[in-house]
Amino acid sequence: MELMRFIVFLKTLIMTTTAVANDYSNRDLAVLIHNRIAGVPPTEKVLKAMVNKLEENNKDSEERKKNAAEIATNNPAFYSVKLFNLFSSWTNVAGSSRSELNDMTATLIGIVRDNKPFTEALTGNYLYTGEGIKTSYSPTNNQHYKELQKHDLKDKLTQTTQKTLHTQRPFDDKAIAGILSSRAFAQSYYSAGTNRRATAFVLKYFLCHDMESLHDIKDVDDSKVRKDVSRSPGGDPQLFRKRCVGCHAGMDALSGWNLYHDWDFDGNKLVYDTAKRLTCDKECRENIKKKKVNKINFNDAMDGDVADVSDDSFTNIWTTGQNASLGWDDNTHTSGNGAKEWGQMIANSKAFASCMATHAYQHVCMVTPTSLKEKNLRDSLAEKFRKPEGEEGINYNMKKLFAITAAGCLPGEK
Amino acid sequence: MTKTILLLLTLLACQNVEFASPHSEDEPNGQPERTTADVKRTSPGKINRLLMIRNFRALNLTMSSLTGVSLEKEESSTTFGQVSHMLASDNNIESFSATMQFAIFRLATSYCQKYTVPNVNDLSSAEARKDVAERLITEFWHNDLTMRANKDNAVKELVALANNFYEEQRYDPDVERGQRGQRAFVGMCTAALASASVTFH
Repeated sequence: MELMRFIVFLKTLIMTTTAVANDYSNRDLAVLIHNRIAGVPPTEKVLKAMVNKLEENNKDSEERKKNAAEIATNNPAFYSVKLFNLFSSWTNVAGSSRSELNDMTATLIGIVRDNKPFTEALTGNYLYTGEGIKTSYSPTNNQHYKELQKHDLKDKLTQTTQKTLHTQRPFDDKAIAGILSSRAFAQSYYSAGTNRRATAFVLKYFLCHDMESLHDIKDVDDSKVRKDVSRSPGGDPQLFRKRCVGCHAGMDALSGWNLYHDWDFDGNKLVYDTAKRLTCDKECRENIKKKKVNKINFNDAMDGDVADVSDDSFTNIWTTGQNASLGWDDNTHTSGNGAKEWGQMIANSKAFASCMATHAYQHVCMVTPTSLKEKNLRDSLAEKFRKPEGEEGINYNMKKLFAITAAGCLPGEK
Repeated sequence: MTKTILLLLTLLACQNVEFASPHSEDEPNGQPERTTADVKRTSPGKINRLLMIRNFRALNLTMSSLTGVSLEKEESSTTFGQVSHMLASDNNIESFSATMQFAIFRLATSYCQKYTVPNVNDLSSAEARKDVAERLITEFWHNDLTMRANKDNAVKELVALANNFYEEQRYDPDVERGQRGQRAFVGMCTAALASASVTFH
């Protein structure tokens, strides 16, 4: 009997939830905006403040909604729920949003909180740690962040230069580049392998392009394809020309930037070693000792025919061909050395701004922009995101991007 | 319990709700995903709301803020640790499962056991139950844009549920008279807090 009552009650709840009016009052819109931005309902006081913003007569509709949305970004849950969910999925190969807080997630959240240009995520000489946390930051474990995630991130995050944190691992300035020189990034993307994963990850989450979508075999320069890629896989050179080169030509030319970054399995930390005494697992290390090469040059399908990767230089060959559509910035170098210059090149592309607008759209509007109307809105958001503040833009301010996105994709109002 | 959950899911599936599909690809027939505006245009009179489920972090924080019970409280933080992996990772309603509902109930119960409102120990009168039901619905659902017109029905259902909770404890030898009110209150609170008005947005 009790069980049946319970079921009937829940059915009523579900039915009431579906019985929605066709239009939204300002109060409804405020609730919707707050839920979408912070992930939690507003308090009555905040709700009133948002409604007041929505009812201001002397501003246009978009401005009113944006102002209301900016109130919602003040909620601590915007950082500990919405941004944590978004960024934590970037910190692991599986793309899981359930990973614990780490230096990479904390830094991305801190950049948003402090209204810094989000391009600094790939170039800045700082990381965020927690203030007043019992266990202090350590480059060899994540305990500090594990404790920090139980606190209010909006309140506790504090900016620290990477130079300070990297005392045990001296870095060149050119190698310090925001999250690209963070411990969590190193653990996920510099461990073992050939460090190509780091490039592929950045393209996926910061330009919103999987490697497969960048595959291009038309008139590509394959001179930078590394020696671990056979030029005649299975004895068929055509296979290399028609398939392998499509990704490897561009990716390998781009990937030199992280030659000296590595993950130390024994020390459980990020290392930066220009002497190329790079570490990997035990078997790999023994092989490296024998051959005296680092992990990137170890696999030698083309030994003797193709040169080793010898420094941290990179070249962007995608400035022509189909991948020029990523919108590389004319005023930013397309070749250089080290993580910082590479990060600048990525962050200044149009695809970076478009990708951030897509992430904001997905996490605020709750759908992926797929229709023409949605894509047009996403593109206009990306354009605003890129422009400086003096030109009606928001200068890569991610917090403002979330606010204008929420204002832009609201359903009809009364 | 399993039957109950299946029934709940069936009920949910039977409603005319337009579900949003975050991160979804184009539909198989090549038609782009519908926007809120499209839903409104193509299905007048139907529900135009895009329904989302709160993910594990959002749900925990929502229940904490609605009840005023700190995230640090041992019971709720322990329960969250035990059930968080069963809760949604994203907001996609299409990933909603029976396991999630079970986890939502457990989490709601842990918060309701620590949630206190004045004069709930004595729920022996119908007036007291109605008063508590109204308070719970108002406090937990006040933001839900669907509930305002349906508040009376929801309160009525919650009172009926409380009547059962309260009366059936008469025959439970393990429950002392003084505990009945508190236990009935936790039941009412859990039902309201674990409801769609809180877990969806």
